[in-house]
Amino acid sequence: MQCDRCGKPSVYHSTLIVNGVSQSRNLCRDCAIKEGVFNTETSLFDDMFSAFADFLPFEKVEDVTCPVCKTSLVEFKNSGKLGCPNCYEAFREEIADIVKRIAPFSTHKLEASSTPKTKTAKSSKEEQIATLKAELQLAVKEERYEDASKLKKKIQSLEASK
Amino acid sequence: MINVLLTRVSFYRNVKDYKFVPKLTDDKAHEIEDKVAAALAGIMDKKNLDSLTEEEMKNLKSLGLVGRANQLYLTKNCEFSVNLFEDEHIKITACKTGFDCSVYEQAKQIETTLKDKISMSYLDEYGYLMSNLNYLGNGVSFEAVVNLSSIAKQGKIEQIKQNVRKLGFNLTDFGENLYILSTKCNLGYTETEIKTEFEKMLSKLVDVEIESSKILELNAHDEIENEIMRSQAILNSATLLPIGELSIICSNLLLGVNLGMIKVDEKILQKLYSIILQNHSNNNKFTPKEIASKVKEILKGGKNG
Repeated sequence: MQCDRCGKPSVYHSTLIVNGVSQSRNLCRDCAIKEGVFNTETSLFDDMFSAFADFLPFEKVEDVTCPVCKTSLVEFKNSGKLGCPNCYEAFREEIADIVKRIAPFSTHKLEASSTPKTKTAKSSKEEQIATLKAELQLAVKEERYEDASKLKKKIQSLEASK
Repeated sequence: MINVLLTRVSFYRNVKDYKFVPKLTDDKAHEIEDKVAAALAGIMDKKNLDSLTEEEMKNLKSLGLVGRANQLYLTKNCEFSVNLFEDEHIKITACKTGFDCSVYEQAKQIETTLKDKISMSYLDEYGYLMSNLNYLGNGVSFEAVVNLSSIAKQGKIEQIKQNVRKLGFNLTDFGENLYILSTKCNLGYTETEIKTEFEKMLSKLVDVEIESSKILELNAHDEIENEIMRSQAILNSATLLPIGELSIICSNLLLGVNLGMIKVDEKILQKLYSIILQNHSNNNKFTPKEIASKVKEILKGGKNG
């Protein structure tokens, strides 16, 4: 193919379709540089990228870490394994999403005759509060004030719902 | 249901107030070992894996009673095992040849014994807590190894797999015309419901297999009969028998029994399949000579009653 400007052999080929009408361009290397196609400061790809940026849903992924076993959310997603029971609280939303996808229902159903050793919802909640209080103490001691603040809010909401 | 080779139930549990297996330290693992040993004292024997013979290991592995973990408790009849630190802290497995969902009641007894003596990690919302979310809820999984050679011959196995998946189960290749039907994450179902649905699914699968056999026979009676008779003859006289050939022979014998063309003792068929299961789950594969020799012993034992 020949360059549309100078007739030399072309190296750059583009096709633009607007309202169903197709427009092709063929340029040799020198003419392409003159037209700014191979711009050294921004590439064609960057332009495409910025053009679509408003339409692409970018999520800022915050790497949460379980305060008890130090398993990070990234580690959980890579391995598929949780590190301790407290991970269920630390990654509450992510686990709820996964459960929705893999399980027929989102909550456990107890057999009429089968009860675990930790039987009532009330005792389970009290134990949760006790665990969270222990973690809060640890977080304060280690000066992880952001974690401590989150733990305090969880304890308050559990105590309010008792 | 002669097409079902074995039925297996596993209960997964994690001990309360301990981290899960990926983050468990050695000293905490020893604490869990001590708790389990105390709970199972007098009921199950702790086994040192090094003390088991090669034959014993092969048999236990073929039944799925021993896995990757190095802590094993076995009952005297070797039908139940408790493995520690495999995927979760505790895995209780019960297994029986053929279709036998009484394994659930038997494994449940061990689970109840442990649960009464050791507090397990549990939340009302999610049931028994697991490192692997696929076991969430009741922490119980049902599995069966089943022969579906007629469905496979008709080229319908992928369609069946998809249908089974839609109904909340998995059907995966085991090899040698065998498939594993297993439960998926069953959060929200009670144990009884899971067991009932599993039995129904397994029955349905076997019904489809038998229907497929009949269709195959209708389309090619002489060829099918020829294959079945040849298989019987080879089984009785071969001195070298590769595992692939044994698998085809067993499938043909099952087909013959299902179609009423031949009679074969179900126990003999199960023993022949146990060779295939052992070969499959072990690194050291049987040689064709070893397989032929084992087959001779089984047939001899069958004749002697």
